[in-house]
Amino acid sequence: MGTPRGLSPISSEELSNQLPDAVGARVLRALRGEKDAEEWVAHRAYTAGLRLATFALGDQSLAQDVAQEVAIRALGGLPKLRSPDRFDAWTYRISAREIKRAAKNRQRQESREDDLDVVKVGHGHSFSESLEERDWLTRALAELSERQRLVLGFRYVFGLDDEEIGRAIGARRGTVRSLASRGIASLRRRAEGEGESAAVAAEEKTQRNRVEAI
Amino acid sequence: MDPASVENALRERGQTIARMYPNLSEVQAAVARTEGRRHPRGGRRGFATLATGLVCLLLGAAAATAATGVLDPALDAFFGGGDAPGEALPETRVPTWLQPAPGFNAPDEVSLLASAGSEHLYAYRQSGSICFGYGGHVGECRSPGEWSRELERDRWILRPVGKAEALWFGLVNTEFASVRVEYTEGAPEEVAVTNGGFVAAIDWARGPQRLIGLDASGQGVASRSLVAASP
Repeated sequence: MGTPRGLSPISSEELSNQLPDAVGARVLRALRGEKDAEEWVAHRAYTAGLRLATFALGDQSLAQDVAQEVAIRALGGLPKLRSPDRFDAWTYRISAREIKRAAKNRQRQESREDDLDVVKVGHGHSFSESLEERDWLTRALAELSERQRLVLGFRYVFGLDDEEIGRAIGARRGTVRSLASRGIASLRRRAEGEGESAAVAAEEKTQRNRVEAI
Repeated sequence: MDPASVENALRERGQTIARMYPNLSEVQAAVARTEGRRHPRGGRRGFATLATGLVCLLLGAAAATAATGVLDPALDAFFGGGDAPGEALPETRVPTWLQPAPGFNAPDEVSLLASAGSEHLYAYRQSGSICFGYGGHVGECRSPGEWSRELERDRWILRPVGKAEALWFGLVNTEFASVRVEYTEGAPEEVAVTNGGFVAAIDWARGPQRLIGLDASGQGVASRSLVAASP
């Protein structure tokens, strides 16, 4: 049972997928109306939705709303699921759909606020405002297209391969590969740009200090 | 940011998010909201009552199990932020796959819960999660709430691991004192529960039939068929 040193322990999802019929059996039990299995199904769908939405939308409370909707749709639509073993792939598709819907609503709301020149009070922040306070990666991800964010989310949060991602977002493998590589290239360009701006700013500061010293 | 580290940053972000878990109340709210849609015979009139009833039932069950203290006290303390149960291992005895390595998080502490020969069940805390290590290469990390909820609900958590699932690792509640493996050939084998856990080695050549959890008086409290798991 030896393994190369430093191998990261596998996640509970990975382990649960290794267990015989772990997912399919619980889904079947949920279909029979067993309460604990229903709760498990909701928990699993909610978790998938929460994680993907957090990555793709960069907004915790919006991610919770999406996750809630994913869990409701998964549980409510369970009788339509043809193959219980494919529950995870199915919830990924639901998550992707709900994230797109949430992103569109957010965009619509923000443009409406711009039109009305809304003055926000209290702790209310729009997505773009709150992003200013966040880290580089969250801001950079917000510049990508919704599909690019979804592809990167599936790859880096769930570890799915291009084919699995394609099934989740309804795209061919080649499209997935291209969305991922363009997304990463765009993030790299932005990183280079920020690096250059930081270098210019540092150089200007040095020049100013020299002038002040003279 | 260095452009070369973009993928590292994505990977790191993905790993952080992959450790996110919802609150029980959020999931329960989702279950309650679908109740009327999934069981329509009760009609819309009964929806609110059903939903409220389900939430109360779930919350009540959680409160009841907490009050009766079915979780092993050592595990309960561990889930609550205390030390890992069992024998705390010095650095020299921590298995290599759990030792610090570049690019990987190392556990804060590792302790030994139960053993069967050279196979061990480990408990450790890593990046705020509660983790259990099964044998020589598999670890599972989850939030304390998830572990305790599953133990309260299912009474035991079984993890068959290894080639042809020759080892069954288990976490159990306080009802369990030992676990028996029954075979079609030869006498059954019994392993003791220590620190809320056990490790049972299965001899597939003897036709294993059932894994039975026993209380202190030798009465069966849970059982799991091994026939379907046969290689």
